[in-house]
Amino acid sequence: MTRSEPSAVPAAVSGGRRRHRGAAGDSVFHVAVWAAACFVLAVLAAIIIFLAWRAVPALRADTANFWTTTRWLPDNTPPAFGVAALAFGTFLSAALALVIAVPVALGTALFATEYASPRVGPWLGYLVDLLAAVPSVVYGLWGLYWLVPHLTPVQHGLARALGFIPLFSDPRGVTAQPSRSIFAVSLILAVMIIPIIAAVSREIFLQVEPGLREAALGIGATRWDMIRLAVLPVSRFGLFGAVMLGLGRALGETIAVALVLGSSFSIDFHLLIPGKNTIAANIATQFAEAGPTGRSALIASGLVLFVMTIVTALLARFIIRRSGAQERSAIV
Amino acid sequence: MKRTRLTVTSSVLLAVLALAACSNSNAAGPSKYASSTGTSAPAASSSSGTGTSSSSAAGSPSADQCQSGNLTGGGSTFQAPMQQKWISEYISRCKNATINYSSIGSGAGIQQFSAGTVDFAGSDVLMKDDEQAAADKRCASPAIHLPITAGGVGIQYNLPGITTLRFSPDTLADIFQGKVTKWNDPEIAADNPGVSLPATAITVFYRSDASGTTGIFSSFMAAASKKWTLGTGKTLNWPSTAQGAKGSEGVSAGVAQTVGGITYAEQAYALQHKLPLALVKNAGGQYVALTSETVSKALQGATIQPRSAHDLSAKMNYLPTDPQAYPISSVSYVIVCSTYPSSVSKDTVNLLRSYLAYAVTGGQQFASTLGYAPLPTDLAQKVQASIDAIS
Repeated sequence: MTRSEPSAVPAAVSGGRRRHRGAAGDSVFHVAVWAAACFVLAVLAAIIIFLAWRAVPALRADTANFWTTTRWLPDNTPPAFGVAALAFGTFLSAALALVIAVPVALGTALFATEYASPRVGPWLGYLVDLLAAVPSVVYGLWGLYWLVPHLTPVQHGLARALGFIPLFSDPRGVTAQPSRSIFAVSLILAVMIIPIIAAVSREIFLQVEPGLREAALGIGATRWDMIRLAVLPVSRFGLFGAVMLGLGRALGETIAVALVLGSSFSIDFHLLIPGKNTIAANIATQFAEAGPTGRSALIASGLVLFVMTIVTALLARFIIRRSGAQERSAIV
Repeated sequence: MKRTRLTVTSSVLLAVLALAACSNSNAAGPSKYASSTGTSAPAASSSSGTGTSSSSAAGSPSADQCQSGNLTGGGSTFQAPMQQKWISEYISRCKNATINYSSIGSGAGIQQFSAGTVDFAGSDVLMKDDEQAAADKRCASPAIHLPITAGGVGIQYNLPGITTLRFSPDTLADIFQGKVTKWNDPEIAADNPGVSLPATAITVFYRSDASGTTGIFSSFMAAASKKWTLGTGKTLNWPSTAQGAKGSEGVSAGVAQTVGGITYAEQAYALQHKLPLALVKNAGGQYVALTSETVSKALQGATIQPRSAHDLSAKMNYLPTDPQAYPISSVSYVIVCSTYPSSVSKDTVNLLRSYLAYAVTGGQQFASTLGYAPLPTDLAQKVQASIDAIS
């Protein structure tokens, strides 16, 4: 005898593999799950089709090369705009945000699950989750009015100490004053994505079988060894998903970036000086006043963001799978 | 076990895509513009039946009479503080009226007006030809521009200890185009004899969002200085040394945080951030401060170029010779139907007339305290006549 009303989690995990005569609930649930999956895919397809369809008029009207131009003047006559600087800035800010956020988020999750006492751990989790509930416009205003001015000594110090590295150089000598830089933006993005990555990672670490931990500790592993050998390898795929969720939010964040970044349509690797721009922030700032061509052009840039997200996710997944396979074969 | 993990991973992956997609579709949300920018003629209204004769306005309420009903407007952020003030004053006297104005930007306001989502739009700029065609189609009668308030674009700067600066248009052109990079440049000094200028670097802030303020500023620059090469429009191809910031709030905050910063924005934001406003040289050769009086003087040089009966499209004169006229001044409009289609209730139309009549008469008194300028009397009377003719 099995339960006629399977709870959601076991059913989703075991898939629709088992079938039982007379279990009407099972087949209904089977259809429901399939419908949900198909619905998500249909929405995805609809978004792509919508974006592509709406993007075409602007791409036709564009008198500049859409892929290499670093200007955004779609409502001028003639329209001239390109996504190069925007795509570059989007990628740079999201990548830097991940570099900052992933260690902190994983550290928080590991602390909550492996180090903190069972009474403290969950509370830490709830508090981190609260960060995710803050609206992004609040992060933006906080960044604009508090973080950027208070970050001045940090940015100026970095520029003076590490200025010989192009990433931290300050060619125009502007970091002595509040600098609305990609670095500041990435810090805010990092704060915004830490709760997402930490929350998902925490759940994944909790899923690791206690037996694995006990086995590791039983053969004399230290706690760090246990995490390194038992917890992290098992969690790799889930952690990847967590990081991708964070990346999705960082790539797509609009208003916080729009408020904080001192934007320009330039391409350079100077993290500490104002400038550069992102696709999502550009959509947020330009949309209200855009004309027909301007709107279409913004949608075209949205399509680029969409494709960037997909490609990044697939690429990262490919790398993770390969490294996972290598490691498994090395162990064998 | 492995399959489970794959399923979980791929569903997370889909969630990532959905998340990124959300950000896009959110921004793309209010996309209600009619993609058919056809040449549908602004034909005489056959559907509504009522003619555009102003005799129908004979029974229209005077400004003092309350109307009940619902009225929704949206558009220009520039005039939003005035709209909010008028609304709160109007509904405090007329309890049965519900009026809303959402500041979504002039462009979006015009789109929503043409889509029929709002009853009137606020706009800092005149509609373009395709926008006018779409709005006429919605109204089934000519959509008309009515000046409702006016304001100046101020030059704000941050130089501790220097509370009065003067700029000629040529100097402004060189500063905003990145040709003059230090505050003690001889060109700035020439405008400001006797002021000891520091060697601080100039940081230019501009509106990263498309903005009517940028439109007014660039129209003035193009008219007043041959050195201006960025053209005119709501977005410009700024040099990469200049910093974009979102909204008047963003540029003013940027200047307030940055010693040596300079930007253009409405007067109200300078007051908010305690930034000084520079005097700007007009075509009469005088350096003029931005006040509601000097803006009103500049408006007297504007010429009305009606597009249809009762339309009050204005052409600003950015080269006013009146020694007391502040040259970077402009009017802000409401856009309404000259005759509303029958889908809009009579109550709403009556409320619109009553509300706008109040705004253009009694409502003008709030202009100076909010950082705007009252419309000159003769212009206000023309607007009143056009409001009476709305049906």
